[in-house]
Amino acid sequence: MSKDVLVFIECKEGTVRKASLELLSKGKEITEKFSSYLYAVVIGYQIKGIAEGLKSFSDKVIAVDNESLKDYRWDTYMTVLEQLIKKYTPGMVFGASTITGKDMFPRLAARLNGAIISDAVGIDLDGENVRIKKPLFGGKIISWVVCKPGSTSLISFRPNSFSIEKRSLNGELIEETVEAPRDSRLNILSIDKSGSKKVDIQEADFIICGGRGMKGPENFQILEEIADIMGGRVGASRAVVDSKWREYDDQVGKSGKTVSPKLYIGCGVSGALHHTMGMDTSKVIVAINKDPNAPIFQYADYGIVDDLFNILPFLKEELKRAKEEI
Amino acid sequence: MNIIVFIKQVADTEARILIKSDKKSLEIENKYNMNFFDEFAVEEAIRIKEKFKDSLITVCTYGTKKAIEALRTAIAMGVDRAFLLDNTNLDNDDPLIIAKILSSFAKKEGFDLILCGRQAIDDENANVGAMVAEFLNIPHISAILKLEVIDDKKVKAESELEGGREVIEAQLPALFTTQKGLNEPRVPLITGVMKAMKAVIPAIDPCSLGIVKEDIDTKASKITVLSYEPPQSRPPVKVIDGETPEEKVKSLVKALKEEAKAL
Amino acid sequence: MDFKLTEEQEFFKKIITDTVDKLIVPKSQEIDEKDEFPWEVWKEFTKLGYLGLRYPEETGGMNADKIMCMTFYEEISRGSVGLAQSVIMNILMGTYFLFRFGSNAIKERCLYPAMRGEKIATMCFTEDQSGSDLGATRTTAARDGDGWRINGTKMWITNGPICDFCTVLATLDPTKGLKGLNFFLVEKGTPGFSSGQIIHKLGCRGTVTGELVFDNVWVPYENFLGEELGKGVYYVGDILDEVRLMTGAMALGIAKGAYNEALEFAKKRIAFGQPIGNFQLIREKFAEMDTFMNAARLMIYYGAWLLENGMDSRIIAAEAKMYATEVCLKVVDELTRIYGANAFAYEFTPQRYFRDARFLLYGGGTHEVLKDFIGRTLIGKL
Repeated sequence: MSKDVLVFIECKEGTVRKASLELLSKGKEITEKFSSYLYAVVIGYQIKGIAEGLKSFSDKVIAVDNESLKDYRWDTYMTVLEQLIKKYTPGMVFGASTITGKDMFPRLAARLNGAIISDAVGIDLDGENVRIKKPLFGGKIISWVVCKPGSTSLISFRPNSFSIEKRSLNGELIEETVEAPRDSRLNILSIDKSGSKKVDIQEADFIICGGRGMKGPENFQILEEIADIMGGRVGASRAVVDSKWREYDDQVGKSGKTVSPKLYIGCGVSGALHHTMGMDTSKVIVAINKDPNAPIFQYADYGIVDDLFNILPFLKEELKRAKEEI
Repeated sequence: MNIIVFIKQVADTEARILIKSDKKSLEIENKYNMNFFDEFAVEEAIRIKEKFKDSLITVCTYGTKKAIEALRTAIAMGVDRAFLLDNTNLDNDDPLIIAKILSSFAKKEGFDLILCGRQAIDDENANVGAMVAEFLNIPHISAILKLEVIDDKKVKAESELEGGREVIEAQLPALFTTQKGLNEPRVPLITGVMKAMKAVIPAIDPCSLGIVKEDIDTKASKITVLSYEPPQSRPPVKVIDGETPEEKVKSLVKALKEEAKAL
Repeated sequence: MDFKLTEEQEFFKKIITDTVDKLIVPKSQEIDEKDEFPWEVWKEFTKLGYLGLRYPEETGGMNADKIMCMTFYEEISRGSVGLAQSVIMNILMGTYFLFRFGSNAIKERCLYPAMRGEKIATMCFTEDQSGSDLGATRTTAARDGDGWRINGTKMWITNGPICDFCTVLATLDPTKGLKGLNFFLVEKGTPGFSSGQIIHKLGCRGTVTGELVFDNVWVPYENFLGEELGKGVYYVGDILDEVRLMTGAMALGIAKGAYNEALEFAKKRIAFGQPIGNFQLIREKFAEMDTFMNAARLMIYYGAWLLENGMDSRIIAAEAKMYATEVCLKVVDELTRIYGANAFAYEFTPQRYFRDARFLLYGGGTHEVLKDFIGRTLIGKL
């Protein structure tokens, strides 16, 4: 099996998703070590511009541009990817552990009879071995896993697992035409992307999360304002979602989304286990709570013990000022 | 309608988990539950049966004998019957192999519709559902939020998309993975509990499903766990001091900017 | 010797634990704070069918064995003692005599609806001047035409002010002491039957406890619940051990809830830079609590096993009730120490366990009476 790495690129609103650039950055580090190729595969419709932009990040950019591939469907995208993997025979295929990645990668692994590791958070190059770091039990245990040699390995990584390194590689652009008939058994009736303007919560660099201490849905307005200033997202604890103050899409935790933003601020979040399991890989954690014994403080880097309603207006102003300075 | 629900028994989120001294195995406190996301699958199956009364709901798991408890819970909720695919002497958690075993079971039993949870909360893989669908050559829809069975040939499902929702019509047979928001799993009635206590749950040897043992034993696994380790512990929290809320916020933002470099 | 729960018992324990966690635990603090009968939780929980726990399947019950019953009493008390008291009253004391002696009409009218949670049952023993000393019962019943005329006042009646029917202990002849005692069914709406003052309790809040007044109440003959007049106290003896074990299981449930709170707190509360669970003096508390709780549970299960197998359980039942309650008092005390000052604040849970535990000292027999009984039985008549 070759040591080439192929990255499945996800796009959103005409741009490459951050998570995909992270994978290219890490992929390049690996292929440099093994003197192998890094492929970026981008699938879609009218993606020339995107493909061009990927040239600086990879050795070869493979673009499959077809109107029938305008929207993601596992049946068409997977068939395209399957053909490309068979043709270019990479040893490892990387994808992001997003809704799309989680939908397609397992099925592709089954089709290729390959090895799969999902929701990984790191890689360690140890001689010839590529060791994959994967949290289990909501982060209570870290496992190090390897794929058996000889089979194609599909690995999906949590967004925000790696940093993005700007490169200037000028890779080769290859346009491929692949037949990808739709599965006639599935018929998409409607797509509602009204939420797509918002940053994906798993990809967000900044999350301000409200808990039961927010007292009511109306008080989330200020969190929205702060998230807008920071270009991030508002999250919610399970208690908040169960009380129907916020949508399930916002739920951070074991039964919601697993996030690891650069900065997480918990407001009136007590820090129950099922919540912290979904956010404890965040880079910097701030907790604002009036109860000094709230378990969230055990996970936090910084804590403010005070009534959050006194704190938030100042926080909004100070963050706005800090943003303007940059 | 013939419905199969695949479930998994997982360690309770509060269970103590210790890494054994060889760093290659775990000791898990004896506190197990049906996987959180699988409860929605069981509930949805029961709701379909409430609409299509002549349905048969079969629930199945691949696991140890201990997992019979999770199967009984599904019976208490209202499914018709349950099978354990016994993993004794087959200790293997490669999702590819598990999906092969589950799909062989589905092939043998026959089905119109398969439901399973979006992902297991222990390994957080979200693999097995879509893989089973591939092995059975049927369509799948992941992480559904709504399911409307139109008749025994057709369903309409709503699922989550990056930044939105989509509504898909699918022909049966098909597989759906379930997530929170789809329904509210019921608390079992005592009549269900009694039925579950008396239920005889067969333990099936996966090799009896027409699978060769060499294809599913530990050696067949395509992934190997090298070691387990505890997560890095965080340094203790720095509580920001200050006379007034404004002072506290100013100190916090300064620390975020200069010390943590998070702004 | 076999200490293993059967797979069925194990499963039942799991289901009832999950059910309590889902339906009751999230409401327990609110039930305590409001101190009103929790109608919503009652409806949601009782529609599951647990009130028929002890009764045959043909009647809509579950026919649970005594070990399962103890598991149930323990778990529901872990969730909320306030709710547990009302639930157990319907399951055991409040319906026992109707099931055993009631006519079909009475069963249809009272027992089966009570098993479904549609009617609230109670049992009236205690009076102002009689508790453990049943012989001092002053409420009287007298033949009157085709029925009975009842007069008296009962105190400390669980569910009393909201009950739909009650089983009343009354004497046909106060001079006969224990031999004059009999049980009668009185239903809500019967002229002369009313509830008096409600008792504001230190703990077990949510259960409505109070006085019931029988002012010249007339009930038909079939409302006499028994086979033979004057045997009331023997019939009490038939469920006394079960009631005592049940009270012990309730105590163990409170202890378990308190222990869980303490454990969570010890893992999470940081002092001197580490979780307090790392300190030896805190660990010692857990070692002791767990030891005592295990011992109490073994006694309760053993008593339940004797009962299930029709063997003499009188001494063990009394000992188990007494011991489990003392363990419970010890555990709630330790919880308040582990929790520190917050245990003293109403907004946290330890104070609730602390208050609830006290009631079990009196319910099911005071420890002074129990010890006297045990000692007297062991030494024998000299």
